[in-house]
Amino acid sequence: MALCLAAAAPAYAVKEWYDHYLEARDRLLPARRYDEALKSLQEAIRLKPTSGLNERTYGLAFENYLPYYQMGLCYMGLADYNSAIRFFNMEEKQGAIRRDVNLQRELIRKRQEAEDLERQRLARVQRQESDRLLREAAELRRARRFEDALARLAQAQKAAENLDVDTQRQVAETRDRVRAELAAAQEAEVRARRIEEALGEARRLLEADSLAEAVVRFDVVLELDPAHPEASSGKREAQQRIRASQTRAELQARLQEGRALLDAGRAEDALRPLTEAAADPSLREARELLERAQKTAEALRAQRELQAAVDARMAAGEARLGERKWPEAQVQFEAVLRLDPGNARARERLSFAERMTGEALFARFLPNQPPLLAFFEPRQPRIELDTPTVAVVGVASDDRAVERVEFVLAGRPVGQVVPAPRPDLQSQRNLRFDRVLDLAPGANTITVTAFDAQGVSVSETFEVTRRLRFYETEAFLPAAGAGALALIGIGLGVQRARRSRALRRRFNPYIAGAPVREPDMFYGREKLMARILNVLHHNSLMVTGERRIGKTSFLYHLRRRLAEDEGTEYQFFPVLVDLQGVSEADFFHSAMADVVEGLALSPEAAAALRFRPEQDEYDGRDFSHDLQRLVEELKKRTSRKVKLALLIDEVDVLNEFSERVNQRLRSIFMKTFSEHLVAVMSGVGIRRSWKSEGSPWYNFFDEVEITPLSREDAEALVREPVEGFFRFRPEAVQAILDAAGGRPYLIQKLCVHAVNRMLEAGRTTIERGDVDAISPTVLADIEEPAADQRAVAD
Amino acid sequence: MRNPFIAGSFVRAENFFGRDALLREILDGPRNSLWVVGARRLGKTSLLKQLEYVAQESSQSPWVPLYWDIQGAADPRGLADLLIEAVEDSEPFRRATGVVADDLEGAPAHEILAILLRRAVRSGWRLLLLIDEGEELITVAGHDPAVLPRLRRVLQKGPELRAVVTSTRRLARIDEASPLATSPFLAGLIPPLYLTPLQQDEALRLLDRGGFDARDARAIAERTACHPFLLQLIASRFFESRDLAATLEQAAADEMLANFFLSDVHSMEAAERDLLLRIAAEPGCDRSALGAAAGVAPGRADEVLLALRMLGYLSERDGRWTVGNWFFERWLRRTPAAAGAAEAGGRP
Repeated sequence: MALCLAAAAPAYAVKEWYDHYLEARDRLLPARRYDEALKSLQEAIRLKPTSGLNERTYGLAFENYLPYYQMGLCYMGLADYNSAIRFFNMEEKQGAIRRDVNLQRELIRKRQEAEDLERQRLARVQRQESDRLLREAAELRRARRFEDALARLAQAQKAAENLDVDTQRQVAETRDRVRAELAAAQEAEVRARRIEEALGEARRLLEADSLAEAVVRFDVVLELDPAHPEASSGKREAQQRIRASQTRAELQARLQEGRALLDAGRAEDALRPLTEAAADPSLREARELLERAQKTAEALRAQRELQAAVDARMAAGEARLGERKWPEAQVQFEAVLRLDPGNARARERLSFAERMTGEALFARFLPNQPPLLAFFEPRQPRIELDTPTVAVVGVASDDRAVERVEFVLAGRPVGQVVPAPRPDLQSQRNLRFDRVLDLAPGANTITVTAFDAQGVSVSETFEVTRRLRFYETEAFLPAAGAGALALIGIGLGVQRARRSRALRRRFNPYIAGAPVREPDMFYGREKLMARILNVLHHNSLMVTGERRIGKTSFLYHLRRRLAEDEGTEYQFFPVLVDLQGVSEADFFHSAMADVVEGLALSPEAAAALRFRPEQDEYDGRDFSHDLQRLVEELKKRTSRKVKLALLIDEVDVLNEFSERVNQRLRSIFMKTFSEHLVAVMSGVGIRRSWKSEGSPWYNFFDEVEITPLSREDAEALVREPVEGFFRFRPEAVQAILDAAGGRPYLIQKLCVHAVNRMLEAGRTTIERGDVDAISPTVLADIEEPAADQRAVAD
Repeated sequence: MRNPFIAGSFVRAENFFGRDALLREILDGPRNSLWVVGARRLGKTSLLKQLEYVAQESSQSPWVPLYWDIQGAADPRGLADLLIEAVEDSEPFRRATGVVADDLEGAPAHEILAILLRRAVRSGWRLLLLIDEGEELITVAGHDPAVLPRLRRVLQKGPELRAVVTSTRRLARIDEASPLATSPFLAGLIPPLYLTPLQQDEALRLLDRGGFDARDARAIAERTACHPFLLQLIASRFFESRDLAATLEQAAADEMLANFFLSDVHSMEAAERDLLLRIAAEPGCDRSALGAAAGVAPGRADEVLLALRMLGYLSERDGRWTVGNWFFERWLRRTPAAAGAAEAGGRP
């Protein structure tokens, strides 16, 4: 006994999603055991990723299932407000909570609270960060490391962006002062270096007896430091030696040479001859021209140095960007812009560096979280399938950006999904994926990994076992070969036996009169069916056509196709509503009776409706109320979008009803829940006369006409039902097609009678004579369709 | 991809295109009683549904919306029943205000409205009342003219209540029928806001859903003159057929569209029909020729032309008048007799 109980224990131990969820919500969270609650909720989400209201748990217990909201509460308990906000947002995105205003308000309130607390936390952290950076900047400034100080201040400025104005002003003023000190220090350094360089050069030139060049260099020094004693005496000496070495005529010639060069725009070349000429104090013009030449040359030099400084700063900025030193890069680009305010590239790079400085700072305040993975398929970590593929569908989300989602099957990468670039250059925080993976027979391990922009990843693994179908097993081929040989032998015998049995049993598959419900006997209409399936998720339709053209049969097959429709995000719940013989007083009750029957409701769901099978008072308001409840009930049956499809036959009955009933029917399709409602009405025609104020009831239907069958479809309807049993002579087929004009009801009726006649004669082939013999009687029985249509005309 | 176009049913949320200025004016503008006039199928219900959606989805919105479709009300009791049904249909409204629909049973519409307003205000909301198919009030007033002044009193209670009534221009006749010596019902609702066809860029954005060639999309926008129903209908059919020329021809001969146009023409006044038929017969004619030809006084002609243009029945460029869209023009030319027969006064 004990052994039996022990063996049974694992079955009891298997927890459902709601066990995890309720444990977290009702036990762990109130006990402030947040980490444990988070684990339970994660397990619940793994088993059931989609939130919902009034989800069935055990027995008849229903609970609101809002795991992301509960996780948000856990994170609030852990003072991780940023994660809390993320999970509240995820819950809102799930959509279920929005259907309950009170719950949604509570979520909004909690999120607001989390946002306030997060703002307060951020403000505290920013304040600390800003103070720290300001302190560091002050120390660096004292050490005259002005550029490092500016880099700290750039960060401090970002950190202070959301703080008070005084702090922001303090950062800005400190930065301006440091900039000014840096500029002064750099200027003094440049000046000292230039003096030193020019003086050294002048001395060398003086010694080398290059007197004019020496004077030019002494002038550079004097320009920077007019009282420089060595430069003054050096210049005097050089000028005396020039005067001593050259005659006045020669100096005059130098003046002319200098003038010519200056006029030709060669100011720097003119310096030497003009300097020599200016050594003679009587050549006043030489001195004036020399001053002009010096100014021009100085401007050219300054221009060259500026360009060199800009290039050097730009290169330094780019190098800092490469090293991901964003504040240092920012300092370099700011320096470029002070030298060259119109430099567009520097402005663009500065903007990038500023953004990255902010993001790096932001990353310190809000540490990067790993991405999250939520799966819609598969729903369990271990599943067994007998299909050769499995769909992996879900969403990856991240607080920064999802970079990619990778799929690994049996240790081998089999694909990845990357977000499409967004036109607004914003990062993508949610990435939906939908992959179909091929499965090998037996066990398959599938690992899905989401990576964020910083390379942090999270993985989920599924064990998928693929069971082989019989035809995929090794035993299949030999068995199939032997079977085929046997079948060929048997087939011939069976064919003969089948024909004689069909003859004996008077086999006649055609259906004349009743709607065709069997898929095998429904021919043609594929194009029409495809068109309706393609638009029905968004549009209601009116299928019109002459009597007995096959409208009712079409609705039966549309119901089947809609119920089988698996290809989209919509789940259709089609129900047939037959209005034949329904009175105006009984219209809504009768329609709801068909709906209730078609949806096979549980007793609890049926009890929630106003509809009762035996009931006198049931009006449009009750009908609307019950449809709304039914839509809610159907939402529990599927995770796809619900579409309750009312396939209403014999809608011509409505033509006889008052406009008020028609308006009530229309108004139901104007209600918000009618987004989950579509209708396909079928009838001969709609009454167009309309006396009431307001919109005609039919004006939201697009009309589709159901026409006679094409020749190919009609011929298939004649031949295929008896294939393998009986044969049609080609001329017999032709005669039926000619007589029926593509009307399926008529084709079936002609075939019924022709086959009966053949059976009477003990034959297995339908002859032209059979058709000719029965046609007059059959055609005489058919009503004139035009007469019906006239009956519903305006 | 399944057909993304919606021809017939109302649209809202991601399926709703354009009308930004109108939505802003209604939600954020200063008026608390608004009448939105639009021709049939121009998107009146969709506008109200979008207002309901926007107000419900926004966490910042002060409005709690209630959509009240009054079509089929017929009499004051029916009006009250439909209001209770509107409350019953809107779970968000009931949740927000704590109103229980059963508590409202038996009260007349104006009293129910007063209760709803009180409950909304007490719950911290302002009531956004969205009344669809406003012309039904003509029928209701036919049963009991006193219902209009009572309703009017509640509807103009602002600023805690903002009432938006949509209808065709038929509602303009409501005060003609009233035998009571009270203020006209429409006094607080005029001037009306017009629901016009979409702008070209809005229409092209809508058509973009079908992945059509840009030239085809422009052709559809041009032929439909951006009329939202025609746009969706033609786009839906073109999406299926992939043959634009055939789709346009078939639609132009379509019985459903013919009825749609006939219904529109029948809702017009004689002077409007005259001007329309004149312009259909002589496209591009100028203003002076029109007034004279239709025998309409000059002041009145301008008024009629403006209304027809705002509703999308006519368009005007450089003083030359043409019919609003290609399909309507084709229909008018093909069946001028049917259009003219409306003068007899019957409705389709």
